[in-house]
Amino acid sequence: MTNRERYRRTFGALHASPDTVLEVTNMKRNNKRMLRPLTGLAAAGAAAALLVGSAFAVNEATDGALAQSISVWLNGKEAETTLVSTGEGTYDVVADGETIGTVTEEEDSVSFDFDSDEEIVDIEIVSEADGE
Amino acid sequence: MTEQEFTRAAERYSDMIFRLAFHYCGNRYDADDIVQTVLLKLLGTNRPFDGEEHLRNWLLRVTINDCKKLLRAPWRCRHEALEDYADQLYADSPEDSGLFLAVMELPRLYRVVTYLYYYEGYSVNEISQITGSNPSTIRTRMQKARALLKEKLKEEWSDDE
Repeated sequence: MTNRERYRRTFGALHASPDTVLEVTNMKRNNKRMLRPLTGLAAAGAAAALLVGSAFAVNEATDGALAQSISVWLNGKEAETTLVSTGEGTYDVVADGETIGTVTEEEDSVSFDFDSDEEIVDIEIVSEADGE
Repeated sequence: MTEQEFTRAAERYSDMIFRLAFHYCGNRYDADDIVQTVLLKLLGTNRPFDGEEHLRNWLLRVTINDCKKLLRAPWRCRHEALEDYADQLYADSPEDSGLFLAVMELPRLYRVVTYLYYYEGYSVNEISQITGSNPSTIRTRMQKARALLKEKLKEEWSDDE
């Protein structure tokens, strides 16, 4: 038996938890706000330059409404960005396939927490009030 | 991506994501978490894929990126006794336990390249593109990984290219 054959036999015994795919599929079915393509429209005064790891509330920018989609510019280019619900009013911000932060709905505001190796130079937020 | 397309992709690639994440993180609990986060990203992406190979490579790159993020927060990482896990996995084939433990004792970056090379069948150049490391770096890691496996496994690990 070659090294490759033996390696494949050995590690072929490893399998993901069978519940994982089911959980992900159920998360999609149960959350209608999960996926929104960007339109790039800015809420008034919402654009902000962020430091990596900082968090801030943007209640003023959205007038209290939930941010429905977010435009993110990474390293000077607009990233393909979606909000992915992780439950209990929290959403992962996924830009170009990578989670760069989280959005959390709070009682009367929305907070953002970003942690990315790339330079986030601008963020625009589209609120439900503004629409797409 | 439709639900049907997602389900098909998830069934086809969830084990691949798990195995790569397991090699990276060293425990099945973090590996399962990575499977979930990667599949969520797949579900949420609007990116069009140019065929299965493109999708597969994208999933591998996202898996590696998510594993790196997880390991940046060491308080989140979990540990498990791999000997116990090996006993479960290889109860009927104890000879496989030796290779499993030898690979998992390798440094993390060596484990990742050995998985991509020996299990997924990628070339050095392809591994370089997936991981973002130079081909020469990948070759060096492969050489060192093979040397360590040979040292641990002796005749059970044959000399290869």
